[in-house]
Amino acid sequence: MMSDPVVTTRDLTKRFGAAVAVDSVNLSLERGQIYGLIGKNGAGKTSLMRLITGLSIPTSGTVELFGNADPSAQQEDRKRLGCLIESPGLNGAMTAQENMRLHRVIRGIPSTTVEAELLDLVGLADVGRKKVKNFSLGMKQRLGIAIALLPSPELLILDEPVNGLDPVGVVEVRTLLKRLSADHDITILISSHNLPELYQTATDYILIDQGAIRRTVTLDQLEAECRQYLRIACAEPEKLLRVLETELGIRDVTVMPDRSVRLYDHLDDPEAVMRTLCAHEVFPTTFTTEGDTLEGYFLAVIGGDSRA
Amino acid sequence: MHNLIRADLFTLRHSTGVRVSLLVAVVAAVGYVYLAHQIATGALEPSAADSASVLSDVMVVYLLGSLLAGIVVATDFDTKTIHDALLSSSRAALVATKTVVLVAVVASLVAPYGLVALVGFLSGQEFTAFLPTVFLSIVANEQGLPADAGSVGTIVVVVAATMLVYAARLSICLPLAFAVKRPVAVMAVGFGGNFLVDFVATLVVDVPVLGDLVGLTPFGPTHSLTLASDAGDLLAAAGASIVFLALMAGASYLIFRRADIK
Repeated sequence: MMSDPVVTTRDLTKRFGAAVAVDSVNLSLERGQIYGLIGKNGAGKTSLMRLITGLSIPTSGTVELFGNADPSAQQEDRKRLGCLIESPGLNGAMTAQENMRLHRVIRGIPSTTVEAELLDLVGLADVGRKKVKNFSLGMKQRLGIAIALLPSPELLILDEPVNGLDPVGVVEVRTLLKRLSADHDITILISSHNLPELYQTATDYILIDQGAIRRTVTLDQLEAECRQYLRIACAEPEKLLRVLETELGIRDVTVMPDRSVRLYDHLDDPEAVMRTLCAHEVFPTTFTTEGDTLEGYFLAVIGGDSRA
Repeated sequence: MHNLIRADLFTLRHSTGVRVSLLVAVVAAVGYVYLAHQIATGALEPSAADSASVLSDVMVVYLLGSLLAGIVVATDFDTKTIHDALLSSSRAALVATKTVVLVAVVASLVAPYGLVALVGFLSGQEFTAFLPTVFLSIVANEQGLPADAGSVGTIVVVVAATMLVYAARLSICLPLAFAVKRPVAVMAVGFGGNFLVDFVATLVVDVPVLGDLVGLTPFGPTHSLTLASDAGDLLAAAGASIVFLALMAGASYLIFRRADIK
């Protein structure tokens, strides 16, 4: 059952002089979902995140947080947000624990144990007295994520959180985010250039370009769009289906309106399919591997392909 | 706001700029009073006063206070700590916090001068007020006050009021810091600006209306306190300072109210 949206934007627009950073964005983020925000550099991802968090003031349009549209009353609602935007909010002269303490104090969180718990969660429990200015980029990202989690947020906004992380770190962050979403019903808005990584993390995708939302798709829709298949067309489609089913045991097929057939099995051995069809006197007029790759799909949409 | 003040003080404790500034203020205060003693005893020529003026409270507090005003405001922007601060508090609360912390920081720069002046006053040693500043007037005991609890109380009140006056004068750095967010730029403009305003205030003090207007600000010549200042002077200086601080906080809020945070 769908609950009330955590964030709703209506015609949200941000201009910097003549430049439009965010262009009439209408968006609804549902509780417990992980949204991947995808776009090129300068597409408006960070600007949109800033508007949602209140770090930037809209030129026009509104942001509704947890069902509250009154900007003056949203201060309380923002306490339910955690964010890591552009780069982690870290003081290089402090240790990881001191940075945690600083943000815990800012957030007015009385529990001191949460500092160690979150450092442990992001794999920084053993960094000791090392100053943050001496941390690697990956360590800073982890600490930034820990800080974003301090207020036990209901909405977590992460701008390029896996930037600088090693492969192990990327997997750990992905696992962590999925667990947070599943166990605590946290809504996560995450931007990344790492498309394969987003593909494995997000449940929904928001494609943004030139400040405007080009498309929103669920993971299922995306998988359907990106699924590879053999497209076979012939003069006798009924016979084609019969041969595929009886001779090759194939059932995962889709008959398209033009009576061509999409075959989702045997992609690794199209020659065997062709041989079997010909042996049973089914002669394809079309026999091609089709379907999009993840990157191809995003490029097509963002690049202004006719499908978008 | 309470949380933001605690967080700011926690941040400042870890700031090298703050530590060095406070150390410089302590060293300058001790050197300043020591030179006043050396000149009074004849160990140094009176002409040494010219060089000693670089250690004066006006010079040190204006210079370091302007720098620290920049640090107090700009550090949060540099470290992006401002993001969390604005998720947990309003922009008005953040500006109010910075104003309160600025007052505390300036007070901590003035405090070494107050403390050294008090010690000098109680020591009974000979000092020369080679510059017309409140702290030299205290150590030189120009009013001939007895070294008793009443005099100490008077000194504490005058020093506290002086802290407030300095904080108010340096509060012109607040809107500037919210606008430019660069400590060094704030220091340069704040330091020069304070001397310029002081200079202009001195020039217009006898000009009708203008002189009265300047008197309503902490730059008014009558707000440069001494042990001879009476309760009315102290209250006027404190009142003008508090109103001016509020105005500068208001100006900062107007700048910051709809600012985009990077």
